[in-house]
Amino acid sequence: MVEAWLAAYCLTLAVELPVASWLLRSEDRVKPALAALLGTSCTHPLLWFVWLRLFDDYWLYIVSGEAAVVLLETVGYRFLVGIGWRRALGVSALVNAASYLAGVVFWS
Amino acid sequence: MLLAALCTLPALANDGPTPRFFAEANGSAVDLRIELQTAGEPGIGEELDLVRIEGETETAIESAVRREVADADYETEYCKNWEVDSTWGDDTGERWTCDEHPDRCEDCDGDGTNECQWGCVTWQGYNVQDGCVSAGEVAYEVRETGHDWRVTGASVTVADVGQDCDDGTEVGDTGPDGGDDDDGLFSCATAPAPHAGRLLLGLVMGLVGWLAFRRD
Repeated sequence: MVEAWLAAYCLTLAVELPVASWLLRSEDRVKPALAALLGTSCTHPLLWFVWLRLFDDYWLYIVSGEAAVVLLETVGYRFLVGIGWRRALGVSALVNAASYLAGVVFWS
Repeated sequence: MLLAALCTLPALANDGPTPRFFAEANGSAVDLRIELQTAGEPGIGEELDLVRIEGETETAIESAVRREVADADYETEYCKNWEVDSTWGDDTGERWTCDEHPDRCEDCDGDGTNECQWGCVTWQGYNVQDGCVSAGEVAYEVRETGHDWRVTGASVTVADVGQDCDDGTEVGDTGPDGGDDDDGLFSCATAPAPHAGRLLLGLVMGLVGWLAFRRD
């Protein structure tokens, strides 16, 4: 389980850091990647090891979990990068969509 | 949560303590506990097969697995030999039970009753999960590899979870799990989402993000 999580975590970082940096390239070059790193490091283990225990149904788990991750990481982008709420939500949703789709493709 | 019935069948004793064996349904998985002794027959250090029996179908869960004391997941105390209220006598030929002479017996399970006529012994316990079991009654047996001696069995009723039990695939960055790994999470008890559904979820997330990002 931990090994599987570690692999997924590394893949998530490998996708989200460059995507966040690219989306916010007009901002500071370091802060978006830092926000992605901190956000993912907080939410990813929570989703795998805590949120997972709360649901028997996969769709309830993944939809609610991804929504919670996007919202939590929105706060990180908002305050760490210093952008507006809507843009932070957009970046958070886009980077998480990218890593989620990467995972779907990678593990297919 | 999924309903399960737990039932352990009595071991078929030979001249050594046979494995203690328990099964409990956990979704469409079954959690098994095998407890062995070094003096068991078969016991620790011997190659054992673990077999699932569904009707006429037998499926090997483990083949020729040799466990050692150091591999144990837990330890438990139990009676050294015969179980509660044995009427077998000791070397003097005297017949007595633990009910009659609790002072001669030991309390191995910690319930306050001295039920073990022959003292306590430590069993090494090993957890095994059978990850993908169809609904219905299934039985398990531990066999000594290469021998036809079937030493013990446990049966359990697995509830119909209403979902296929096929192994799926991982679901991405946050996706435990659905894979064919051994972590047991969503591998079968909750079927992984269909591939198209997962792609759609990712695309919806991306669309929401793009709309929010673009309109800022």
